[in-house]
Amino acid sequence: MGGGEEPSREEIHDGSTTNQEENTNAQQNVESSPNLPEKPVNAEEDSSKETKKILDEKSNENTEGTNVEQAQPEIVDNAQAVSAPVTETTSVVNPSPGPVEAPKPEDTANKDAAHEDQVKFQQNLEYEISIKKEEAERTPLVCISEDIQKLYQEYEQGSDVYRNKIMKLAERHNKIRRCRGDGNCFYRAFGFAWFERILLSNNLTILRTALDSLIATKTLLKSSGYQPLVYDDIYDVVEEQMKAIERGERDDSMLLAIFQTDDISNHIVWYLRVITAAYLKKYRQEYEPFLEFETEMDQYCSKYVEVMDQEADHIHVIALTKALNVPVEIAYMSGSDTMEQVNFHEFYPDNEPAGGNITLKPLVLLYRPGHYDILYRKE
Amino acid sequence: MSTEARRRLMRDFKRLQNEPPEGISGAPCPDNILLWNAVIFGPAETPFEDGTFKLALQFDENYPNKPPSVKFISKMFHPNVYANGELCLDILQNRWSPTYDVAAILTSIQSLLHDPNPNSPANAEAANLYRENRKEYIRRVKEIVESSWE
Repeated sequence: MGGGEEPSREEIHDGSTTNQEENTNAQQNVESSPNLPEKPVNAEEDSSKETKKILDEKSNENTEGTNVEQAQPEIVDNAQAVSAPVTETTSVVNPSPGPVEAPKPEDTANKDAAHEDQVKFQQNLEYEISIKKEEAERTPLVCISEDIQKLYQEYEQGSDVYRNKIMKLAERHNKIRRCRGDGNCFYRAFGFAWFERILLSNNLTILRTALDSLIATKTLLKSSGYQPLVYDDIYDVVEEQMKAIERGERDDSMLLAIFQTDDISNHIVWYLRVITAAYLKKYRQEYEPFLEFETEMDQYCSKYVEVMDQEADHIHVIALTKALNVPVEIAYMSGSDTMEQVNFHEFYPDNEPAGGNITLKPLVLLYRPGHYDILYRKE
Repeated sequence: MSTEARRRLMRDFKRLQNEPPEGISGAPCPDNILLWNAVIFGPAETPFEDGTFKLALQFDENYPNKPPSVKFISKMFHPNVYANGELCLDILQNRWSPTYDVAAILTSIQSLLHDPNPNSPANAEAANLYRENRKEYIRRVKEIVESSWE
């Protein structure tokens, strides 16, 4: 998944608030990609790219809203946080000199000047971040579904390539449901689409199978070394939502309201994150080769999976679909004009439980560089 | 105050008592579970050895969705600790996640003591000495080790 295919800002700008976020997310995605070659960590090099990265880093931090007031502003203001030694070796992987990781030792001659520059830089960034944050927050965490024509309209002033692809997409899909571009969009889109699919199936077998998969994740988490104290409470929130469907206490508007409520919605997102991390840790031998050289899975998970607002990558999608036994199809729509069709990538779990998920139709997500939304297939 | 934060902090406390990591202790104030005092013993074979460093951890009702604010009460001389005792540590800022409990936070700070990062300094003097004059750095650290006993 590359930021290289990201459409230019002009191209997609039509006043819709989601566009800006896509850009933001595209870069987040680049940054969190485990397969990126290591870049020089020198702040002077490639400063525009670095700017964006730091921006994204910071906007991640800020999208949670209350974070800023609560972490002492002085700390956030003038310095770059040091990677915790427990996660230190991963810092080499992350190419930006942002708050997170340690730049490589460099010669000290320009150190002070460089530091001052960085401080100024940081102040400008924070201003930009606050604007971006405001923009992102104009989009609900999960939106009301819209006709797919709305997606087309978004590109009316923009690229033919996108318009043609949306036309193709509209042959089999009639609706789109947007999610906020806050770095959590994959997990939130997955979570909403999954719960909605279960709710609308109106099928007790599907519901029980989903509940069993959910219960089984507690064992997965424990076997991957998580302390029950860190996930028990959050698990309960997620299970309660599933059980409320079972008790017939949920309809589609209620489900939407729940996913628009920060607390519950973010609990669900975080629980899906930790399931993903637990699965990656359990099958680390299989997935570690996809990470940057010498990155250890525990460190990778603590930096990119367990932390809110960090974009999901390909292996995260694989892990989550397998851990929960939920099939997902993702439409990859990029600005690349080599293909007229929108490519669908299928993520199917290994073993479909007998009589269970066989009837659960795959969730359908739309991926545009850096961002996920939910798609609806024509019945 | 949210019962979720309170319950979680009680569980953190139990774990810290039942499986205390080496060289770390901590407990909430008897009358305020959101405020904790902790002690980190300087890791062996580092300049911080034999130091007993006191810290205060202030939680709020958003815990564990948001990190506590943590500061050293004891005097500290370290590249990543500000003059007022506050820390510059990623997991307490933008790499926080609810997978950290109090034991994990304190363990990370303990590792930070012997593994400073002089390139994103909170204390420029400590960072410069650490890089360029290790002998003087060690001497200054030993001073705060001694003052930690008072």
